Amino acid sequence: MSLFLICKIQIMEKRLPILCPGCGGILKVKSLHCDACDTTITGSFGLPVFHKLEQKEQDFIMQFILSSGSLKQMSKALQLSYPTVRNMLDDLIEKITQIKKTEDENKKAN
Amino acid sequence: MKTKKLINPFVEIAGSKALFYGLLVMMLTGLTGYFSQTHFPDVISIKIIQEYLPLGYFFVQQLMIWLIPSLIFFVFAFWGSSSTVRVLDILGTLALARFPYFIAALLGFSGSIKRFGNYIMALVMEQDMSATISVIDIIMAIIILFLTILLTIWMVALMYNAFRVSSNLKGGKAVGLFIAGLFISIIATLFANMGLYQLWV
Repeated sequence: MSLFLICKIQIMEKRLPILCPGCGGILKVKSLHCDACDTTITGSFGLPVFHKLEQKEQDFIMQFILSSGSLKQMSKALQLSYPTVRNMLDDLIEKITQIKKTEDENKKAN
Repeated sequence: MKTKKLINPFVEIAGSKALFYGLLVMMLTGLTGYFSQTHFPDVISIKIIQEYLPLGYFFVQQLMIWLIPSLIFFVFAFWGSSSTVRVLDILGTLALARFPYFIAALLGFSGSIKRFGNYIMALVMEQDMSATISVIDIIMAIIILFLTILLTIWMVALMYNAFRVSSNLKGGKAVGLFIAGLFISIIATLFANMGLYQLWV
């Protein structure tokens, strides 16, 4: 049982947390580390827009690029209808626009 | 998951594929309706007719009750959605959404519903109190009527999802525009069918 749990933990993919578990706010990067020379840089770095999206949305963007931006090709690969894929893209555009708008507002406020 | 597919197959099928299968379903509905004397005077109504009408009437009626709502829903989707709306998606998904009425046309073969109709007509219209009907016919007619209500609900749900997926509309806006579109479609197809009926009879 414990061996099974260890194996399961080991194969689990580590995901970058983007939202604060305490308040739900967007997290920032506090430190970056180089494994090769053991250098650590500390500061306050904002996450790029891509990383502020959910995993399935990031996968969708990757698929979109790999399909050369062809929604028809994507609908075939995902076995979904063309309007469904187009709607997913439209919703993503809407979400990215909203994130950028919030970022701009935060920049102005600071 | 299967229930979801029954109510919203358009997540997986739309466009030309849906149009092909939808047209096939409508032609089969028209053909079945011709033999079972079942016609569809507007987008959602199902009626058994007593007189024999030519096959062409049933085919043209099928096209009419599909094209008129398609045009109305396309205008509504184009006006209400910020996404790109393809005519092919509206036509295809709304054609496939008519599948439940193929089953309704098959139900028309039941003699019970015709005898029940004749019995009601004799009782109410002709005040003929000597008219009789068997208990089995009454039970069968009630079951079929109940089934047609279910088929109507199924078709309206399919039409709503066809409109929603094709236009990328959500929430209250999707519901409001769909109800308005359906209401206008019912009235428009009802009048168009009156003209069609007079043309063929």
